[in-house]
Amino acid sequence: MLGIVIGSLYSLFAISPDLFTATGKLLSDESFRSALSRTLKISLIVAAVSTILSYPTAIYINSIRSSKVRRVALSLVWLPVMVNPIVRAYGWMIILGRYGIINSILSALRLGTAKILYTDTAIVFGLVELFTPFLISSIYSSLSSLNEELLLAARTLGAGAFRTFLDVVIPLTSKGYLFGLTVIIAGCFTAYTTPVLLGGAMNATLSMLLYEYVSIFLDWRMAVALSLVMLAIVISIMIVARIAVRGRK
Amino acid sequence: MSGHAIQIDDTWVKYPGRSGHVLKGISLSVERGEVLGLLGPSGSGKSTLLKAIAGIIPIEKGKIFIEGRDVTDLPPNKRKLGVVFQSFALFPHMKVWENVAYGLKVRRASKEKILGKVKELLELVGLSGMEDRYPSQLSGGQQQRVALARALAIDPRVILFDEPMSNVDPIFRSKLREEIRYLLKKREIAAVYVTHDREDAFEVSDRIAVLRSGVLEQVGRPEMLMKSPKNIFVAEFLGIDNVLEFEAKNPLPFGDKYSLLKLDSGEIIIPSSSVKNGKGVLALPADRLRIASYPPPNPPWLRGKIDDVIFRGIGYRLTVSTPAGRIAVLSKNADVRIGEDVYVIYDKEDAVIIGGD
Amino acid sequence: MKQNILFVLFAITCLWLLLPVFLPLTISFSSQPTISFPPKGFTLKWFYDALSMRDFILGFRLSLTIALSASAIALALSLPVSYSLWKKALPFSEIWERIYDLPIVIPQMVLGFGLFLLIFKQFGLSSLAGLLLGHIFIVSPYAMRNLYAGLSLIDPGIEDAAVTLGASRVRAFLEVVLPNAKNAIFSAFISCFLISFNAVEISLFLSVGGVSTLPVAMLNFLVMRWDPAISALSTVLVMFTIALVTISDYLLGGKK
Repeated sequence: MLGIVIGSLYSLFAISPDLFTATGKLLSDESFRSALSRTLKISLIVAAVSTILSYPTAIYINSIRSSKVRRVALSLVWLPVMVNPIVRAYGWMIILGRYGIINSILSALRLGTAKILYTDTAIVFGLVELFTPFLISSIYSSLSSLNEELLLAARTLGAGAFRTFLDVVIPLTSKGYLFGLTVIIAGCFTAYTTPVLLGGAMNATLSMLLYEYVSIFLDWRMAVALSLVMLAIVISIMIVARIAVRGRK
Repeated sequence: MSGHAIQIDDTWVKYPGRSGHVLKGISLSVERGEVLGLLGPSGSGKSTLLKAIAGIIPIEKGKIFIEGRDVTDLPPNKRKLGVVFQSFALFPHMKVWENVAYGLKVRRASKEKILGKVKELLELVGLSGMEDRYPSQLSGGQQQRVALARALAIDPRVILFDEPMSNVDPIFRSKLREEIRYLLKKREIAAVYVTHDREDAFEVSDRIAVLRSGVLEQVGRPEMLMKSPKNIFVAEFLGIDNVLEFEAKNPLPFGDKYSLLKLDSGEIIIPSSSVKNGKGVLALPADRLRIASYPPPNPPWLRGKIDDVIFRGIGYRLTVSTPAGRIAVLSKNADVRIGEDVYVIYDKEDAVIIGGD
Repeated sequence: MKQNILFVLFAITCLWLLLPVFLPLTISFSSQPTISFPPKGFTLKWFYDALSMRDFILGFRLSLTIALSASAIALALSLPVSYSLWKKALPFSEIWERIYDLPIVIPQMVLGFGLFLLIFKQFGLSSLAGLLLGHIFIVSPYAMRNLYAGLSLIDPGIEDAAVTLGASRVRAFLEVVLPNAKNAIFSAFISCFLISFNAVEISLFLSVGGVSTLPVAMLNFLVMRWDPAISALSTVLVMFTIALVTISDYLLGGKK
């Protein structure tokens, strides 16, 4: 247990001084600004797409009668998490590449080729794939502990299926949903593997920028500043989420 | 057809994902303003029947009418029924008043109407002042009252109760039952009240339907059921005293309506109609039996051994074990010893006929 | 009708999630040197290539070592905490759970960088300790959660029963709790192992004697060029992962 606390505290202490000047320089830097806005945009889109995919999936799995089949479905959804993100990004390269699946289909239909790989869109595809299992799992665990009679009660009082979903399911699964959402957004800000492979050097996210500072420019002061900014962003996301959950209670 | 509050015609419900039927050919009707108790052991299908009436589960065959309307194909939100669930199913994220108001909110009633109605109903169930509480802050009995108020809010002509007392402290059940019955009668609302507890059913119902394994065994007023149960199962489930089965190989006629069975352990007089297939079934009310140390000169009588003596307030309950089964006898005094041989005597007219015509 | 829409969305989601996992497998046997689909031809050439590259071999050894040790250490550290949480004997249990959620939130790269600076300043360049510490950190939440989930399936009363029958607390734990928790421990180990083995961002800045972990080596390789050798490696990794996950599931579910 101590290992955790030590691990976190020590390494954070290790991040050296020269904070303020470097931070100031960082915040006004152009490449930082664009990386920040890009990362923000991407994470919001990923969150939205993931929500659209996760809720129905969680609901569907919850409605499966056989518990065996349900477990299979859950394992299926969770399997990608256990697979190396490099492999998954590679898979996306195959799908989205110049000679990949999508373009093969398009050219078979004689619709020309689309440049999807090495764009923000590709990053979105990849990150959605990366994080959706977390959201599904989060929503599902809220959903499965829901008393079925609550839904029946709403129906007998006159609410149609959709109304029941809005009035009962959403409020009562909001905790699980917000938790998963936090994981997704924080994750999008800090993921490196997927964006670097799918976005290419032209479309840098914050984490890619960090890598550049550390390994390519060897400008460690900026790197430290960037690290602190990233940490601050992530912590504020957590705080916002906590407040949102408290508000529900 | 239009006279009944609920009419169920030959309804069959299948097991989901399995072969076989949960409900087999149920036909039942509930009159306006009547409370029908649905009694049966676990797995008898009573909850399923309730859910079928509510439209929560699909039926394979049959028809269901509510106030003359054929609701067989209608979804639950169009049937205009009130339902009180076993777990109360109060929306935990809504306050008490929001729970009660939900049905009205869905029907887009005006704000004034909602507020007025909620206030009226909460007063009716004795919960004024609790509007802003959350369900988790209420006791079991209070939660049940909110569930009732919520069901009443939509002005149903029928309310369904699914084992409503299971989550209520036994001490409060009696009072709650009384209140429920009072409210139902006052508003002339018909009800189907599902329970596995016969005391529950007896205190609330006008008529009782006994269910076993998806089949309706018997329906009738409680007195009628107690006096003429259709078979051993009904008799035992209703708690009728001393249901006994005798060997009846050579019944001798005794008068025009009775038969005499001569057994090793006694001489039994039993209505002839109760003798079937070499067996005679009879129920003897515990308070109409007498104990003697010697066999009487005339039948009927049965020999047994005293097993136990318990004081029960107004008298003693003696348990006598006989070859035909254990018999409970209520007696004013207890000058008997455990293990003593005694003779149980009854009057032939007092016996309860099981499965008569 | 609603059920059908749900199913369609479910199918789309599964496709979205699983297609990238299985695609590399299909082209790893293709005889074409570029990434294209559908694959043509059949060859095992890429497997030979991948398995003989020095970076990959060394990387594999390093990843394996780190994964095994980090998982073991993380489990050992988390066991007392999971145990106490399970017996509800830990004050401020909520705080502990939050602490264990930290590693998921803290950016791996930031931590990796921080560790790198720490090691650089204190011990000079490249050390195993930094890498190990980092992996223990990121793996711990999975260790704790898996152990706790596994323990939750066991009735805490059995330990009390053993004690009333005369066993000491320690003995009760060893003889009664541990055997029942075996499956949970194994499957927690497998989860940790996979997470550590596949971890990329934390290991980016931490290399030991010039050797990077396997995923980092793969990443560097892939960023430079497209090479089907990666797909061959991917195939091996995915097979490996599926095997481990199946074992883990079987262990957890088979007990029923």
